[in-house]
Amino acid sequence: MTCRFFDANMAVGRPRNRPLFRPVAEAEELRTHMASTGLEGALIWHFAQQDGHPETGNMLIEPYRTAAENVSICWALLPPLTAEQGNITERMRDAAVAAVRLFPDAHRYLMNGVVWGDLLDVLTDCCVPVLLSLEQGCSWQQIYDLLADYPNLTCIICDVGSWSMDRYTYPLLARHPNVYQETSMLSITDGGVEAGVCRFGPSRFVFGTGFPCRYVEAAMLQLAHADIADDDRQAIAAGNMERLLKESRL
Amino acid sequence: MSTAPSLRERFFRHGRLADCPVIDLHGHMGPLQGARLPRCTPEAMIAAMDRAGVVLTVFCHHDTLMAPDAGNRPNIDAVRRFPKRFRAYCGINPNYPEQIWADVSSFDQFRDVYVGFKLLADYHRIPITDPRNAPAWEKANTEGLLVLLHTWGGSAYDGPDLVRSCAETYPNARILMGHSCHGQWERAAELARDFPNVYCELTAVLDDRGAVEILVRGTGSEKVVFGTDTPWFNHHNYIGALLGADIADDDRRNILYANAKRLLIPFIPADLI
Repeated sequence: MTCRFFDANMAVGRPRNRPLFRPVAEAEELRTHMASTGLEGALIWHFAQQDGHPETGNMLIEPYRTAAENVSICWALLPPLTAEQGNITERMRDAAVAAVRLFPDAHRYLMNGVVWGDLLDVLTDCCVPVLLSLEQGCSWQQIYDLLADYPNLTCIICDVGSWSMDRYTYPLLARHPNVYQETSMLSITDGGVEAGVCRFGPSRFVFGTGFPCRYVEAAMLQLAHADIADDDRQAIAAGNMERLLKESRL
Repeated sequence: MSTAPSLRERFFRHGRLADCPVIDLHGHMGPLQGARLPRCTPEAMIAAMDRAGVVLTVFCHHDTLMAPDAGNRPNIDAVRRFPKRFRAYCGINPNYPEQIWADVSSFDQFRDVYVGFKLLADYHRIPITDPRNAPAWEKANTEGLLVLLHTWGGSAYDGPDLVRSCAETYPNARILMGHSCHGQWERAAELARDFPNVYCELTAVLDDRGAVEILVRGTGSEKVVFGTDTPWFNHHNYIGALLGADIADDDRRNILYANAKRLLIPFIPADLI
């Protein structure tokens, strides 16, 4: 079976410190990368959204949106009480931004209702996916705290780590119907995708690569030959994330 | 002019290739305390190996490494149940030197099981150079056995300087640097280049994009071997990463099987690999 792949976890731009990997430093490189690897779409974020001020990163990501067809962008959010982003939901609506990322470590805040107030209630009501990366400063305790206060938040847990994290993720997937797991690191665990699909069904997993930190082909080849039904494979490879973006409606 | 399909194209299409078998030189087996492993029985591991064309895995059972009272019996039992698919490293824990003596003394009774030794120094908290490990090192050196080390950049137990010391002291032992001194990739490549008996190994390397290119350019693909920590990590994920790396298909073939075959041939019937 030939899969269509939509990458829910790709970063563009250059990190603050020179990385081991070669970054995607220009929009044209994103187009070339997607064409050469066979990715048919992507939800991207920019390293400057974490390493710099989110507003700087939110501006720098804009040119990548039109680099290729079917590219969506995330914005990085800050807690509302410091009023650093104006009316962020209105601005997101105007800019057609369908998903967000939080970087609690780099931006020094907690993830709970005290800090986020009504803002995440609005995102919950509007089904806006909130992407949380274990490699980019979200801890398991923070994610558990966030979901305790916003139990219906559409939340995509990314970059879960190279050790199997099922003991952390399964309770969240079981309790919170709008929690999803991105597969770039889940696909490293032998049988991890298959076990997750068996336990929770295919709709709770979205394909991602972690590019440019990781090789795109790693998660792709794993999913292409995973021991799951072809319809489930295609849903994970692209359909689930594309549906979530369509359902996002600020 | 026709161009042969690349390994990338063929692995994506077929999942496994008869003309590019895979030999996994860094495996484990059984459940693990720190992570849930869905496919950790020998039967499940063989099914996973079959999906990716892995013909042989050389492993050391988690119980051997993590629970000293289990000893090497889980290794022996698994290999003797599935002698065409597995070989084992005799697990060494220098916290219990009397057990090392016993394991080294009985090593020759299990020539059908073992191809060498496994040291997990970062976990056992005793340097690979510690005299308590000497019986295993000396046997490996005398007989040209494999020694799979867990190696990690900056480690006081198995970092690059300690690997260098072992390579100098035991020039006939075939040292596999598990994880290739993770994070100190140039140092790992330098060691493999400096010592004919030292090899880089790719477990936990392939999820860092760019590292394998440093190893291959630094020491040549003839000194890099494939491993996955199976049943931790998925073969296709790791093969995919290797397919995405900026190296040639000939390099990939060296890494996936040719180098391992050369290392194992003294210990294993040729028809198995």
